[in-house]
Formats: sequence, C-alpha cells, structure tokens
Amino acid sequence: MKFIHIADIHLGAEPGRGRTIGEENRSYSWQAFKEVINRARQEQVQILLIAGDLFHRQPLVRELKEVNAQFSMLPQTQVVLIAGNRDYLAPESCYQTFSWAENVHFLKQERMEYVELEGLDTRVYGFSYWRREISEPLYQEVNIKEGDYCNILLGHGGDEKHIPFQTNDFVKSAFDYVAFGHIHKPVEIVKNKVVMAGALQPVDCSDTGEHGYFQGEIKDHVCEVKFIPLHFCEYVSLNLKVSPEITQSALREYVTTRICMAPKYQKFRLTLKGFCDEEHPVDAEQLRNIEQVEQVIDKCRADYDFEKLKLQYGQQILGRYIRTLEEMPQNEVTKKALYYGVEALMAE
Amino acid sequence: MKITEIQIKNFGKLHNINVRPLPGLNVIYGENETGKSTMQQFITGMLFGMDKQGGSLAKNDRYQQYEPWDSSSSFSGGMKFTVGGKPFFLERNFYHKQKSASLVNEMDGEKLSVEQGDLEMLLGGMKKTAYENTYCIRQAEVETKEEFAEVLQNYFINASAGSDGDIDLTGASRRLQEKKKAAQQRYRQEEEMRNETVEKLRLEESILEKDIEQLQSQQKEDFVDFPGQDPNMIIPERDTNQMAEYLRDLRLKKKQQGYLWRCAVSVLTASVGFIFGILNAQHHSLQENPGWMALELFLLFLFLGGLGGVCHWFQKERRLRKLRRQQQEEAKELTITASRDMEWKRVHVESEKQAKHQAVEALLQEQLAEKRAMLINLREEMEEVQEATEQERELEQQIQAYDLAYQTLQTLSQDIYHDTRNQLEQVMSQILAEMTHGKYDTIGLDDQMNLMVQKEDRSLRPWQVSQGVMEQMYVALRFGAGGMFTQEESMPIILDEVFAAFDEKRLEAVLQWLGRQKGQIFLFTCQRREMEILERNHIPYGKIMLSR
Repeated sequence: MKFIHIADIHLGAEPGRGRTIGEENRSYSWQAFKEVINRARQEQVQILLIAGDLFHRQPLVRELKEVNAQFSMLPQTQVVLIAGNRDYLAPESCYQTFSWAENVHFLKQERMEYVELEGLDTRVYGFSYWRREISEPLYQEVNIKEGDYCNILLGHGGDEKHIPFQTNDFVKSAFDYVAFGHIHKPVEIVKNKVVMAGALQPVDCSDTGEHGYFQGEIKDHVCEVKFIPLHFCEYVSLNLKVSPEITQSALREYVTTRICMAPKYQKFRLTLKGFCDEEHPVDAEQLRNIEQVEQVIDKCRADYDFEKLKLQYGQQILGRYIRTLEEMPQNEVTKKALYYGVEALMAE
Repeated sequence: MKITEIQIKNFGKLHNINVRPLPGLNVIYGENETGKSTMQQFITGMLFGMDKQGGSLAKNDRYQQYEPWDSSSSFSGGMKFTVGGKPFFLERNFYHKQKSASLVNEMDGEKLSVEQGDLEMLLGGMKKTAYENTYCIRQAEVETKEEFAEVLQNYFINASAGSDGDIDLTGASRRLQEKKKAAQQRYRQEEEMRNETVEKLRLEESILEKDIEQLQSQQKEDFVDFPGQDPNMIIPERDTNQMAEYLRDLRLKKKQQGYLWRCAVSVLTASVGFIFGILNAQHHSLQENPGWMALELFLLFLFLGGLGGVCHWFQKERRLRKLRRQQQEEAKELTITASRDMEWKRVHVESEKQAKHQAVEALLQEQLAEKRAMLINLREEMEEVQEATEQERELEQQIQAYDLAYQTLQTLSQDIYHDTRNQLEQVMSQILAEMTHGKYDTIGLDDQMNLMVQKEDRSLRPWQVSQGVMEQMYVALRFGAGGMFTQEESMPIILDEVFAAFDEKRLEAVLQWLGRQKGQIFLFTCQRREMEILERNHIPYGKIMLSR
C-alpha cells in the first residue's frame, strides 16, 4: 500500500506583509500542493496523509472547494487530513460545515478517533486542533483498537505549546507509521516509522534547506519511506566569515559567483560573521540587492583584541570599561554594549 | 626627565647660550629684560614645539614673539636630557619655513622621530596644555587658567597609572548618545511602519465586521419574509360553496324521495283500482247494476290515475336522480381538478420559492462563513503584526546596549574621577601642609574644580585667605596635578617669579620643600633673596645668571 505524507502546506500564506516573504512566494504553496496531487495520481498511491496546517490560517470556503476539487481528482486515493494549529477548528471555521468529497476523510474530532479506509484494511488515527495551542502531550498514550489492520497515526505538533512528544513515545508503539507535521524541517524521527514531514515548501526565510514530502509503502506492517524534495522555492543559508582585509567588492563578487552556480529556485540568506574594520563596516544593503539574496544578517564585530586592550589600558577607563562589562552577566545587550563602548572610546 | 644641557642658537633676545643645569633645583637669576621668560619659552618650545599661528591669534603668538627679527633662519636650538637614565639629544629649527626636529638616543645613536610621537612618549604622554598648567608656572599666572579646570576634569576622567590621556570621554559619551538616537529613530520608523499595517488591518476589520452585520440582517429579514405568505400562495378552497352544494343536494334528495313516495302511492292506488276493479267485475254483474258499474268505472279511473301517477313520479324521480348524480359527479370532478390544480401550482411555486430561498440562504451562509473566517484570519494576523519584528527587537537591543554603554561609562568615569580627585587632594594637602608648616593641611576641589581650603571646620575659597596662602594653594595644586600627570618621572618644573608675594618666612618654607623634591626645578627670579635663603639653608642648587 503506497502513501504520500505531507504537512504544513500553508495554503494562502500571506507574504508577511512585505517582510519575510516576497509576493511571488505566495503561490508556491498552491503550486506545490497541486504538484503533490499530480504525483499522487501518477504514482497511484492509496493514501494521501495531510498532517495538519494545510492552510496558513482559517480556510475560506472557496479555498476548501478548490482543495476538495483537487482531492476529488484522485481516482485511486483516499485522503486523510487533520486541522493543525494554524487552521484549527474555530467555532466559525468553514471546516465545521464543509462537506468533503467521498474519498476525503477529515478527522475533525477534538479527541482521538480513527477512520477505517475501505478496501485497504487500514485505520488512520488522529484528531484536529480546536484551539491554537495544546500543551498536553496527547500523543503519549494512544489506544489502538483490536483487529488486523495497518495502523497509522496522523499527528501535528512536537514543540512545547503544540502537543509535545518524545521519540521514546513512539519507538515501541504499535503504529506501523506515524505521520507528523508542524515542525518545518523534514526529519525521520524514527527511521521509516516516525516522520516529521516538514513544510511542503518553505514558509519564511528561516525555513532553510530542502523541503518536500515523504512517499512510502507499507507491506506486512513494514514501512519504508523516502523523502522527495520539491523545488519551487528553497532558502539557503550562506555563512560568510568576514575579516577586515576583505573589501566590499571582493565580498560582493564572492557572493555573486556563489549564487551564479546555484539553481534559480534557491534564495539566499546571508549571515556575515567574523570581524570587520570598524571604520568601514560591510554594506549589508548592497549585498541585499544582489539577485536571489533574500536577507542579509550582519553579525560582524569590529576587530578588537580585548585582552590586549585590557593590558594596554589597564587602569584607565577603557580597560576598566572592558572589565566591567565582561563581569556583567553576558547576554546580547552586554555583548553589544562592550563593542559600542570600546568603539566610542577608541574613535578619534 | 632631567634637562642636562640647553643650547640656544637664536631665540628671541637670546643668542648662542649654552647652559648645563643641575638635576635638582636651579635658580635662573636675571634682572628684568634679560631673557628669563625667553628661556622658559625655549624650554617649553623644545619640549612641545611651537607653531606659528595666523589671524587674530598672531598677536599673542609666542612664535612671533620669539622669532629673531634679524636672523629668522637660525630660529633654533638644541637640548640634551635624560629620561629613565638614557641620554637624548633634541634639536629643533623653529623657523616656520624650515621647521624640523630631530631626536637622537645618544646612548646608541638611534634616531627617533618626533613626528611619530617618540618625544611625546618620552614625556610620558604629557600634553602642552597640561604642562603649562602644572609644571610651568609663569609670572602673574599663579592662578590656573580657566581652561585648566577643563583639563583637570578631563584628566581625572582619563587619569590613572601610565595614562596616555588620549581618550576623549565626553566625545565617547556624545557618540554613544548620537548612535542611540539614530537607533531610536530607526526603531520608531519600524514601529510606525508596523502601526500603519495594523491600522490598515483595523480598517479591513471594520469593513468585514460591517459586511458580516449586513449579511446577518439580510438573513434575518429573509426569515421574517418567508412565513408571511405571498398572495399567490393562498389556495382558493373551491369555486362553489361546498355547503351550498351540500344543501342543494340534500334538497334534491328530499325532492327525489318525495317523488318516490308519490310514485309508491300511485302504484298503490293503481293496484287497489286494478284488484278491486277485477273483483267487482267478477262478483257483480256490471250491466245489471249501474252502481256496481259506477264503482267499476271509479276503480278503473283509480287504476289508470295510479298508473299515470307512477309513470309521472317515476320519471320525475329518475330525472332528479340523474341530475343529482350528474351534479355530484360534476362537483367531485371539480373538486379533484381544482385541488389537483391548486396542489400542483402550490407545490411548484413553493418549491421554486424554496429553492430560490435556499440558494439565497446558502449563499448568504457561505458568504457569512467566508467573512467570519476572514475576520478570524485578520485578527490573527493583527495579533502577529502587533508583535515586534525581529528588526525592532534588534534595534531595541541596540538601544539598550547604547544605554548600558553610556551608563557604564558615566559610572566608571565618576569612580575614576573621584579616585583621582581624592588622590590629588591628598597630594595637594600634603604639599600645602609642608609649605605652611601644618597651618593648612586640607585642600580640596569642588565640582567646578575650584580650590577650597579647610581651616577649623570652615571651607575657605582662595580669595578668603591671604594672597600668600592663595598662591601657596595654587602652587600645591600645580605640583600635585603635575605629579599626577606623569607619575613615572616628573617633568622639569618651571617657576617664574612665583614667590614674589611671599614673605621671607613663607618663601623659606617653600624653598626648603623644593629642595627636598626629587625632580628638576627651574626657578626664575629677578631677586637675589631666593639664592640667599637657599645658601643660608645649605640647600644645593645650580645658579644660572642671565645678563643683558
């Protein structure tokens, strides 16, 4: 029995009001979703598992209709889905009243339920979010009903506020496959058994790395899955170690050549680390303007040798300043203050 | 630092002078106009250089004051000195067109660079202003210059062991404040942008809310409208009055029964006539008795009449029966068709209406659901937008960091300031105590760097004490401060007619104190009494006599 497992499709994700995601990214989620439907048809999978957050927010009726239309185009597939924390079942949610196509099973209950898939001897367990946050570990003990069925758990969560769980909760469980969603990074928590599908496509720039879906097959209670990436959009983290000797143009050229080699669907997120000349800091804005660069995070520090400065300016205000700040509890603010103060004191 | 030799080629009114001072106290004696001040200027000029100034300052410019009018090209000289026991030779040409300076370590012949700051390093980082305000005490300048307060203040801030006094704290604080301001401005911009977005969302929200309200009221209106029936929908019960028909039929039935009844009576009459007529004919001879004949005739008449009545009533009854049946059938048919018609019409219209209504309602419902979902989403988005962005948080941190840096600098400078000030006050008090034989032993500075002296629980300002004490206070301040500026090796001290206002006793005390100092001292005077007191007290000193 073949299946596809997707999660966190975030249909209708707004482009963060111009902050995190570009306008064009908006349609990636729909494109990717339709692509998965196509693949499910081509591969003739029997089950399509959607582990929550199909929509970025409350779905609109027209969106549900569109999705339902897509589902109904699958002649050989039964779809099982749950609502996640983003598209949770609010009392006014359009999910509440929507009637799905014959082949769609929406596990709408707030408590664990299961659906028996006709002709597949399979039961899919799961439940939907009825609120935005659930901090109880509801996946810890799931009772599996008697019977010779292939049992699948469809779940959503994994962090503190969204049904936390541990790997151990599932290692010995009798489920043949546990399909999770919510965490955007795809990972096989337990190989071939407990899988976090990850976002189908990145939702914002912090979702770096490959995204896609898992396709698998269960035979005689043995499951095997593989990750299949989709390339509508991918964010790549590029860490650049800067030193005072590197000029702006050299840096720019390096980034440009690096990006030249990359495929077009990749978008870059540059992080500048290391030390820069305090007189001539890196112009992050210029790097931001390079094509395919989505974000530049400047974490450069001026190249100060605090130990040497402390020796040199021992009892003077500079030396005392460095020591005073180093003695404070270290956090982002004190770290920054150390640099700012030294910079101000050293300035001509 | 000890000056070991002064070589003046041409400097003001001094030409070709070669002097070798002692490492301790030196008295330079000369009458007025013999070049004592020129010599001092030469020493400071050698140590810190001398710049020609233009503009209005030129009037007071020492360069012009000392530039020899006859041979400016040889406006130059040399000086030998030791620092930390190492001998150095410094030569300068002060002429502005050929300005040059050379510095040689005489021990190993190594050439040092004045431009690169080697000399400044040898002077322990002492700056000209600081020197002129401390070690170099000029005639009629006992009171420190006003800028000295600033120098002192800055000094206290920068000061500490081995300081090179390069750090400009006020500048640093200002820079931090400026940067903080810039960060705040950017933060405000970010915030404003976000608030604009929130406003926009609010607007969208209110529009949505209105839409929902409208949809709801539409829905309600429709529900009210529906039960109040359409006039077309009222079903006309029947064309004819049922009751009337019933009554009519009832009457007809009665009539029919009447006819039947009469018919039966007629049958009875006819049969009575017939039977009695036959009996009469058989038992009586009719021809014989006209009575019987008449009876027979009557009976015949009765029979015929009854027969006729039967025919008549029966026919009537039949007609009526037919009519009734016909009417009944008609009525039945009418009722059926009418009701069927009506039913059909009703069902049709109703279902059409119903469908229409249902469609409208479904549409409303859907729109309502849609709008409600949109509203939830919008509110959620608003909540998200109301949270500070990453950029804002970063800026907030930056602002906090700038604040922390600024506060820390302030606190530290206060600490150092107080430390150094206390130190200076102690040194000054000690010097004053020695000079006044313990009469005044506590001298301090207020926040404006003004001197105060403590006497019997009273704080006295310099002008509240005698001229002599006042001058002793300033000397103590200068010596004390000078000692702080260079702790490693003190600079040569220049005293120019400083003690003119001191009486014999006080001068003696000061000179005794000077004699105990380790540093090199140049005491310029136009009086012989300093030398006399020194000799009387057996204090060793170098004597340099200047003459016209």
